[in-house]
Amino acid sequence: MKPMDLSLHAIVIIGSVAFLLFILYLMKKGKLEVKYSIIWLAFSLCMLIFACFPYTVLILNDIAGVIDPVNFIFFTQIIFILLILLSVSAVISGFSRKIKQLAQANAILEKRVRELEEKTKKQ
Amino acid sequence: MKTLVIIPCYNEQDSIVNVINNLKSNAPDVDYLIVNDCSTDNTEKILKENGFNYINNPINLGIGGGVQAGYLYAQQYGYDIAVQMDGDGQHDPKYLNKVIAPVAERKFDMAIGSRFIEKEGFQTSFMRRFGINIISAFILVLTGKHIKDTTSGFRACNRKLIEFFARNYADDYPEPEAIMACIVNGFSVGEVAVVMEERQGGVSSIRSLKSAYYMIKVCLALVVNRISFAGKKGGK
Repeated sequence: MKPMDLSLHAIVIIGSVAFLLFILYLMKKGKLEVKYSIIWLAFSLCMLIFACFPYTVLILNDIAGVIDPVNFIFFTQIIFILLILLSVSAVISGFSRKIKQLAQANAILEKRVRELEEKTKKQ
Repeated sequence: MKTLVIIPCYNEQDSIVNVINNLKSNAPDVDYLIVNDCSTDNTEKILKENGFNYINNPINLGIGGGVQAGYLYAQQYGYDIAVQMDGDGQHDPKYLNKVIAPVAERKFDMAIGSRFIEKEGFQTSFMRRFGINIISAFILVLTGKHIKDTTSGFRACNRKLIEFFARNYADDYPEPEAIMACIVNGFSVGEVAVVMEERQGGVSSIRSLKSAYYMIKVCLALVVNRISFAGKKGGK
């Protein structure tokens, strides 16, 4: 196994640190809620560990029996992406339920307001 | 008993006035509520001009969400029985009392007006009947209960189910799912024979192009319903 090229190594580390900082920045700005950020933080920390200590990838790669370490990294990333997509679908499902409930409550309220207005107009 | 007829209505400007007048003359002692599901035609204007009792959904919720708004209303205003009836003239208010009777007599928690018991009146197309039979077989296999007209939107239910439906009601194509949810939650469901008309106007919520998607979605939803409520028997 050929050791990673030094400049490539630096790029990978800088990239994963930047990604982690970007997530933290969004959280600080309040654009990413804590409950939705956990899986992203886990993802970026995992990538950061892989970048800083490529040896961990080689160990895990041997344990999993994957031929090329880079495939192991892709595999891990795909798992994370699938998990994130699934959680997004779950979050959307929750939203659509809440929107529906809001609309229904609004519809009933609108009727009450309408009838109240008609009553006050008559008086 | 305080009874509410819930009439979901989406772009029914041609038929809604007839449906309501027909309802008023056949069943003057029941209340009704039209759920205008964000119609894009003149439905709302017609409802307003005629002084009908209606609510307006601010966004289009589909038949499921619309009907659920009706159940929510029935729950908040303390109705004992709620009846669902389509706004397109398919369901004849003449049979309203027939559908309500088993629920009022506490025979069933939910009574479904079925067009396939006496096989009279409009029987829908062959393909529709085929689809309805598949859903029926699905429910039979999953619950052991044989409901013939699984997609009938003409149904009455009691207070317990009004409260249940106000909380849980399926979204897109709710009729078969509602039957399933009732059975697995320990409510009793039965059918009564009614005669249905061909729709007077509007389009069905189940269109030919969407029917394959509809079948897959319904069957999947039925299985999910079966699984998700299996552990909660008696916990209604």
